[in-house]
Amino acid sequence: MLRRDRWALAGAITVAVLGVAAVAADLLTAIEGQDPYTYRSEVLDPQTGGPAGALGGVSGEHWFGVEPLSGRDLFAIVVHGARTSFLIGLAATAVSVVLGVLIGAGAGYLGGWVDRVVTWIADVFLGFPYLVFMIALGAVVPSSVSRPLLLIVVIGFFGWPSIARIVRAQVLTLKKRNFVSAARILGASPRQVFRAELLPNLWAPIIVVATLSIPGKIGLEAALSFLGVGIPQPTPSWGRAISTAVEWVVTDPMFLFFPGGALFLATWGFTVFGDGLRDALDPKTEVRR
Amino acid sequence: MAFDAPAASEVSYSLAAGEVLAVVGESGSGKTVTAMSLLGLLPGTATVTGRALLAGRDLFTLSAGELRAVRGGEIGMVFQEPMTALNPVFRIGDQLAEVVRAHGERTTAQAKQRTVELLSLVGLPSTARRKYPHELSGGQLQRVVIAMAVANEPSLLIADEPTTALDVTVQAEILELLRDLRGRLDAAILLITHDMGVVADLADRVVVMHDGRVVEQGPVADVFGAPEHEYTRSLLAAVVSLSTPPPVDLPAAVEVSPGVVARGAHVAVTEPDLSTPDEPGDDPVLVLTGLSVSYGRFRAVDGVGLHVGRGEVLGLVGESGSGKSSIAGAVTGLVAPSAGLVGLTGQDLSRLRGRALKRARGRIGMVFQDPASSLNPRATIARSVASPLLLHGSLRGAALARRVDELLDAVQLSPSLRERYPHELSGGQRQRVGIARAIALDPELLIADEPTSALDVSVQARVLDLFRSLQAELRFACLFISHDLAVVERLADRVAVLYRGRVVETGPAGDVLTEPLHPYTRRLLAAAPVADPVRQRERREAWLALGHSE
Repeated sequence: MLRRDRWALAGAITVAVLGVAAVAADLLTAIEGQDPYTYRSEVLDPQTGGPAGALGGVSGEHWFGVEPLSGRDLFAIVVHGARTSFLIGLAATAVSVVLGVLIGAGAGYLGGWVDRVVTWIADVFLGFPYLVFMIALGAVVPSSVSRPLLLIVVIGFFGWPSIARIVRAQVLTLKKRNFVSAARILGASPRQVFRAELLPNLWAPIIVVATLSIPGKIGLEAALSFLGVGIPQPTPSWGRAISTAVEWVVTDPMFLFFPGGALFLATWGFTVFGDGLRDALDPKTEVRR
Repeated sequence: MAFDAPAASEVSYSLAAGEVLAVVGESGSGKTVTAMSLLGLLPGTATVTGRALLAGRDLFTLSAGELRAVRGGEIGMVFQEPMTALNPVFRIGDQLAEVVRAHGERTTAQAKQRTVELLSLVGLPSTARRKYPHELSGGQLQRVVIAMAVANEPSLLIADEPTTALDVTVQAEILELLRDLRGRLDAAILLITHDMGVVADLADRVVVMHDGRVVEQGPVADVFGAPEHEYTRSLLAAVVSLSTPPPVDLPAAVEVSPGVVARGAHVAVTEPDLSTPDEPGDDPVLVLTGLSVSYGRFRAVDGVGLHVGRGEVLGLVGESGSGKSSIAGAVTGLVAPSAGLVGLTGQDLSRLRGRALKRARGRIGMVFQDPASSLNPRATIARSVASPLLLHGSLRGAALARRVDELLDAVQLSPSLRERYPHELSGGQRQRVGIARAIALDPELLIADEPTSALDVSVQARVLDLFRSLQAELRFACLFISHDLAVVERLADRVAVLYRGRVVETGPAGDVLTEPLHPYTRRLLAAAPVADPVRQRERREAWLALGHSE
């Protein structure tokens, strides 16, 4: 299916390359001979504090150049940042999917007041200024709480309504099909109906919405880190790197280019791959050639 | 005409003005594809070769603009599902006027005048103009669709299964309307149908299609009287038709209680708002007492009493909206009754809870109408058949697999289909799987809700035979729900006729279906077409004599 949709294939390859880089970050930086934590003032221009050499200090030793003021290796920051982004993006999506599927399927299958309450809460959540909420939360929660864990839980929690909506709509149409009635007539409990009859028919839409929601979550993590309430120092993060790079954009544009480009590729890759998945799993949409 | 494989090939037929040509065939025979090609309404992946001449002009060579003028102009189209053929947000009058004005330069006043004319032509009052589609019944909507189709006095009217979605009494009225229009408008009618009774009723000539080819064509009387092709013969032999009752002199029914008449075990009501009284014998499997089902303020079932004895098949007959599916829902527990009792072998189902209720549910099997939606598309056939056993039995592993094979064998399916998925099976095979699942727990009561009405004629006959032999072998009590009297006649021991939520007549199948007591049953029987042009003409006259107003 991906062979017929070149954009989706390109997206899948991009995601795979970034994923491998994230998993093998330690190996890659070891090959380069660097790490993302060591301060190295010898590679900086003592006059400006910016990187010595052209293109932000790109060289055989520092593949993407170095960070201004600290001299940390930018390639190491980007690949370790990929690890952070992917970990938070995927884990938060998993949280959203579990919550969204359970809540959405429950609302669709049980109907009645459960459905009304869930729909109402989902609408409230979808209109909720969650960015402001998360910034406030980041300031309030004591620093002893692990930040990556906090980000995963909070981002994942705010992601359930969009998944619940789609699952609920799907369950509403499935519920009218006779095979669900057949199971109910036989005395199957809601849990048994959900596991045996509904869930197998829900996987395709769930995978598609989940894939399409990953880039949003990666972007959200980057945005929070950009604003200074996400991943704290010294853990490498694309969002915080971009935030710092903005101040240096005139003198050292490459510092913005590498983490920004990585963030762009990750979100773009997941989006077109998700689009392709949807086209492949839903025969009603026509595949772009 | 070709998709990847040709859907229809080397098809040729012709029809003259004022003639009704019926194209018959089972699903996938290419009958609709051929007609759609005339209007240029095939999907973009289809290619068409050959010629289609309308008054000397080849339709296949027309440009898109010319085709638009032909559609709704020289060719009118009547669709199967009237509800989806009309736009729900516009009034009937506006939709008709739009068709009128699309093909002629008429002023608003003239268009309005014409819509009134058209409505009266199809037997609707002019007040229907102000109605929205959801305010009309299925039969009225189909009249509107027909009015649209004939709005510009087409020379050809294509009717694709025009009565399939309608009740049998409404079907008779629509067929009468088409017959009337043919005479008045001098249009040729191309009737596409799978119903041999409809063909016998309306058509002059018939084209029989099979696997995309025309296997036989000729005048209806010749083809139906002496079919030459093997396929036509088997198709006609498979048609389930009502038998002709031998004329017998029966004693008149006597009034046994106010508003209720009886002739032996055959009971009918003579007053509206009554249901026939029910006298369950010893040890019935299912007893419904004073059952009512309401949806909001609408009473779908109103004080119905019925019973099904051991090993007995009760045919529950009624048209859409008569409450027959609500009764099935009340028995299976999908619908909560608003009053009355549902008794299964002496237990009141509505009082059971938890384990006892689940055990009781396991004693009821259910076969659904639409085999496509009654099987989980993501479950294998073996998994679907095994699902009742997994829920209720203790069979697991090899013993379970053996039982599934036994069940597949009982419904005459090869065990090699075990690991297949529903979409890989034909409609008839899927329905057999549905039956295997329903009998998996050896139920005491089987509910069959229109189990054959979504199937092709030849498949329908075979599934009915299977059903009958299974019933004879397993001796389950059966509530057999159908709108098709001929199907009920084949299977049922007793028949109950449901009309507007009440049982108006009940008794032995032979008596009810040959010497009905209630006027509604009489109308229902007279309206059912039979696949014999000569007998159908007699039946039609009898139906007209009954009058079809309610």
